[in-house]
This record gives sequence, structure tokens and C-alpha cells, in this order.
Amino acid sequence: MRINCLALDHKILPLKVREKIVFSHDQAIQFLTEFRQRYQIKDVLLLSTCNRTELYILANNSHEGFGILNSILQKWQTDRDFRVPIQCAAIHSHGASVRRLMRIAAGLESQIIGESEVLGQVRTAKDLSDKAGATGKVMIRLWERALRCGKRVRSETRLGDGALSVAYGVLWIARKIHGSLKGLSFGIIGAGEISELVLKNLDTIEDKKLKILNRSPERAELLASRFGGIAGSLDELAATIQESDVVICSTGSQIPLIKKDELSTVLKERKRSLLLIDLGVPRDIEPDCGNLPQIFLNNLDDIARLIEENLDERRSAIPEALEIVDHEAHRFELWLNGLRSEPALKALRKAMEDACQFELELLKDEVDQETHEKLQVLLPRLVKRVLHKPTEDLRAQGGDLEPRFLKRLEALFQMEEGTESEDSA
Amino acid sequence: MLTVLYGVILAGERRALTDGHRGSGAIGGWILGTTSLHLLALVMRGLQVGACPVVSQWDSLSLLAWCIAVLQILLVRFSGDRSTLIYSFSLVFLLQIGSASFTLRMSETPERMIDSLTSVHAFSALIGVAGVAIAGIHGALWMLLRNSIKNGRFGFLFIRLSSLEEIARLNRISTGIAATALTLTLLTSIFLNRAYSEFLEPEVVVTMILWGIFGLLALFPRSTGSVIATRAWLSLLGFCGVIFIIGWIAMFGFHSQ
Repeated sequence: MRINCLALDHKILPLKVREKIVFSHDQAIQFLTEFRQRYQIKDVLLLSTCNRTELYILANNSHEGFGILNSILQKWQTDRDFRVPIQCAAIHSHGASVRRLMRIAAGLESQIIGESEVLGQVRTAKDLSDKAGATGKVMIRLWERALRCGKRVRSETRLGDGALSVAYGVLWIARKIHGSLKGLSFGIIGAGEISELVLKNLDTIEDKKLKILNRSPERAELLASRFGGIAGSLDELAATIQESDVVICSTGSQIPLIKKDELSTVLKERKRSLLLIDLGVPRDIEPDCGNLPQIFLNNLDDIARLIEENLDERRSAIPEALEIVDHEAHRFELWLNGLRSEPALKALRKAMEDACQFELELLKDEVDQETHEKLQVLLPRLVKRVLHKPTEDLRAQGGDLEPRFLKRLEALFQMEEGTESEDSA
Repeated sequence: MLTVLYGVILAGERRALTDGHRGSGAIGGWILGTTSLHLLALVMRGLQVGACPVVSQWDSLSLLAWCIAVLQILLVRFSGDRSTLIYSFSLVFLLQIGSASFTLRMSETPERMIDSLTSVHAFSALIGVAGVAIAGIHGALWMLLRNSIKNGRFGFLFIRLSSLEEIARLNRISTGIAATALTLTLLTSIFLNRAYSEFLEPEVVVTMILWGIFGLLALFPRSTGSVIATRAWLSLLGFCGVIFIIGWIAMFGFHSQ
């Protein structure tokens, strides 16, 4: 059993390519369902965020894993019209894949190192696999370990310290344009997780005016009531732009919501500078909008670049975070190796327990009731004690042991059990 | 000595910026001490010549340096924004170096006594030029910060400067000071009974143009949207005019000399 991953992230692809390979929730569920049916693989995890689209699978061996992921990559490249510069660098081996998911959950692979949004995105990935029926035992365990790793890194190191998130970057730019944020009008387009995070950061600003627009008004109303704003539908987009000082877009729309022509019409009636922040992938605002004189348009990559400059303190926490990643990856490997030797161990344990049971049955008539009861307690404990060390060793070395050896071990105890039973009979 | 003291201020400001301290808006004792000492030197020189100390090139450049320093300090006190101080003081430092270099041939420089009205005329002109210089510096900084945000390149200026809004406000204030001071210069010139030919001297023509531009900017202080970009460009144009005037003074002295 080997885990492999196909990783297409911000380090190898720019935003304009990444937006081509992003999966909406429905698309992800459909893809995972088709993938499971086509390749007969039950352990699959698709992590599709603004910074990355990554596919984790559990294959019988690395050769099979690489082959499947390579064919998926070729299909995506054809269907979605993009090229990965170095194709082999996008597919990772077992060890690298395990560590990668843990590094992602820890925020070490994020554009903004240590950001916390990614933990929620990893959780969502598992929900999508659940819905597609693609969560096997191994992938769930890896996912649990990755989440645990992410939480540990944030609580035990300073990697998540400070307010360096996308939302913080947005407000930093807004402050550089408008000076004080007090009394400004904010338009929030979209009511997803990122919008919610931005709203949390806006909460401390005094006398602000807040308008939240969303395709489904219910969610916008929920956020508006929570953060003290006015909710509306996307029909009010033009009016919201006209009266806002900062507009933050983060929707799942596949086409731009704000276009240059429409924006220039809206801007004829306003003279103030307007900051447009596009956090959507695919982008919600046409890049040409930034050419208009009073418009400041910044996207996710810009904000990541801004925060990158100020990560010194977080960078110093990377070695500690890597130690946690190593530890959690090691624990997962132990578990996975244990899983390989589990049939052999089960057979060994069962053979011993059955032997004890057989001997106890023989002794039943030879000893009194009290002694028999004591033996009934003693013998399983003795078996447990005797098998403890070999079990631990086998679990630890499970990955290094030849599959044939494990099969032989399994068969050996089953045979002995059978033989013994036959002899006794 | 003043040159060295201004150099120390610059070094201190630079170090503070590099270490990440943007300054609180409070003016340090070293800056106040240096400008006070500079004022004392100018007053003594004024007493020596019996008028505003603009009778030689080194006097003029030194007084202009002091005017820029004091105007910038007033702006910092008024706005609480110290992020642009280093740029104005760089100009002050350069002017002071220029002034110091002229003192080496001070004995050769002919000095002409001037009356009180001419003193007011010259002093207001230098205040006006200082205002234009500071407006130009803030205009340039505004454009650099704007381009930095628009292009998504968040470097040193983005981190260290306060905000576009604040820099635009400082630009407007210095524009107002420049326009007022240059108006006073023109009004006093009416009573000086100068020959018409003097009005055609290049540094006078440039000053008149600056007065026209900055007068208009002061009359229309609104600075929203794309209008502020035009203000910034005009301020930068004004700064070029200041450089020309400084160069002219350095080479030929004031038109009255």
C-alpha cells in the first residue's frame, strides 16, 4: 500500500493557470466518484483551494500510483488547457506525499506560511471524499494525522503567531491607501470562508459601513446579522461598488463578476479611490480593471507577496514545525506498516489464544474451579506479555519486510494452529 | 558643523527606518537642537549683515535649507506623520553641503546690503521655494507609493510610508504654504521698484510659473481620484523648478545680487 500525490500548487503554477484547475465542490465530488469507479481505488483525497489542486491516492504500489496520477495529469492538461513545466516534479512518492499533506495542514506549503485557513480546507477535502464514498481507512488515518499535525504546529510553535493572514494583508493595503480604516465603506462579495475571515478582521474597525452580497441571500444575511452589516444579492453589485471604499471579492464564480467596461461606467459617478481585492480563484475581477486611474486592484498573489516580506518571525519557527511534521509522519508510517503486518500478527495472536483456550479446556477437569478461573485470567495476560515485543517489532518493521515473509508468517501460524488441533483431536 | 549635524540626523532616521521604527511623529531633541543651532547661526549672520541673510550664495542656500527643515518639522508636528521626514532632510543635507562649499570662498564673494522690504521679499521667496520643494517630495512619494500598490510590488516605500491619503494631505498643506509665501513675494516685489528686466531673469520667471501653478493648486484643494495624480505631477514639476532655482542661485546668486 503506497500513497502517492499529484501536487499542482502556487510554487509551480501562476494564478492564471491555477484558476483553470480549481474544482468546485460539486465538480470535486463528481471527479472523486468517477475516479473511484474507474480505478477501483477507495482511498482518494482531492484538495482544491485557491493555492493548490492536489490529488492523494492509495495504490497497491508506487508504480501503479505514479501511472494513475500521470494519466490524470495528462487528462487535466488536455481538458483544461495548461502545461506543467516539469511533469515528474508534480507527482510525489509515498514518503513525500505523506509528509506533504502534513506540511500543507501545518501551513508550511502555504503562500503565507503558517496561515490557518488551510486546516479548514483540508477538513473540507475529507468531507468531499466522504460524499463521493472515497474515504478508505488509510486515507482517513492520514487525514487525521495531518489535521493533528496542523493543530500541533499552531499550538506548539510560533508558526501561526501574529495576524499574518490574507485578511490582514487586505487591511494593510486598505490602510496604505485610505489612511485610517475608520468610517470606510466595505463591500464584501461572496459569503464563504474567506469572506467570513475578512469580516472577523474588519470587526474591530469603528464606524464602518458594511455590505455583504452573495448569490444566495440567506448566507449573506447570516453574516450580515453576525457582523453588523447589510445583506444583498449580486444584483446590487454596481451600487455597492459606487458607495464603497474597499470591495473584497471571494466567490466561487467561474467567470469574472466585475468587468472593466461595467466598472468604468460605475466609476463615472464616483471620484474617490477604490480598492478592489480579488481573492477568488478563478478570479472574480477582470485584471484590466486595475488600469483604471482611481482603481487599485490586488489579487491573492499580490497579498501573498506582501506578507512574504514580513514572515521573519514565522520562518524562525519552521525547524520546530518540521520536527512535528516528521514525528507525525513517522507515527503514520508505523501505523501503516502495522497495517501490513496486521494479518500475520492477528494469526499469531489467534494461534496463541486458541492454544491457551485448548489447554484450559484440557485442565478443566483436573483442577478446581478457583484455580481454573485464575488460569483463565493468567494465560491471556501471559500471551499478551510474550507477544508484546514481537508485535511492536513487526509493526515497526512492517514496511521493510518482504510481503512474502508476512504471508509466510501468517500461513505458518494458521498451519500450526490447524496441525495442533488435528493432533490433539 | 551644521552639515555634520544634519548628516547625523539623516543617519539616525535611516537606521530607525531600517530597524522598522516608523517614528511616532514626535520630533527628537537632536533635530530640534540642530535646527535651533542653525537658526542661531542665521540670526547671527543676519545681525552681521544687518538684514535677512541672503546676501551671498552660501547664505541663501543655508537659509533655504533651514526653511525646508522647519517646514517639514511643522508638518510632522501637525500631522503626526514622520515617515517622509528623511526625504526632506536629505535635501536639507545636500543644500547645507552646497552652502558649506561656498563658505570656502566666502571672502571672495561680494556682499550687498539689502533693505527690510527686500529681506521680506527674499525670505518669503525662500519659504515659498521650500514649500514647493516639500510639496514636490510628497508628490513624488505619493506617485511611488501609488505605483507600488497598483503593481503589487510591496517594497521599502510601501512598508515605511504612512498612506496615500496622508501624503496627499501633506502635499496639499505644503502647496498652500508655497502659494501663500510666493504671493507675498510677488506683492513685495511691486513695492521694490525693480527694473522690468529683472522680472525676465530665468529664476524669476520660473518662480512666477511656480506661483501660478501652486496658486491654482491651492485654490482647488480637492484631491480625489485621478485629480490627485495631476496634483502629484504638478508638484513634481514644481520640484524640478526648485532644483533649477537652487542651481541658478548657486551659480549666479539672487537676481538682486
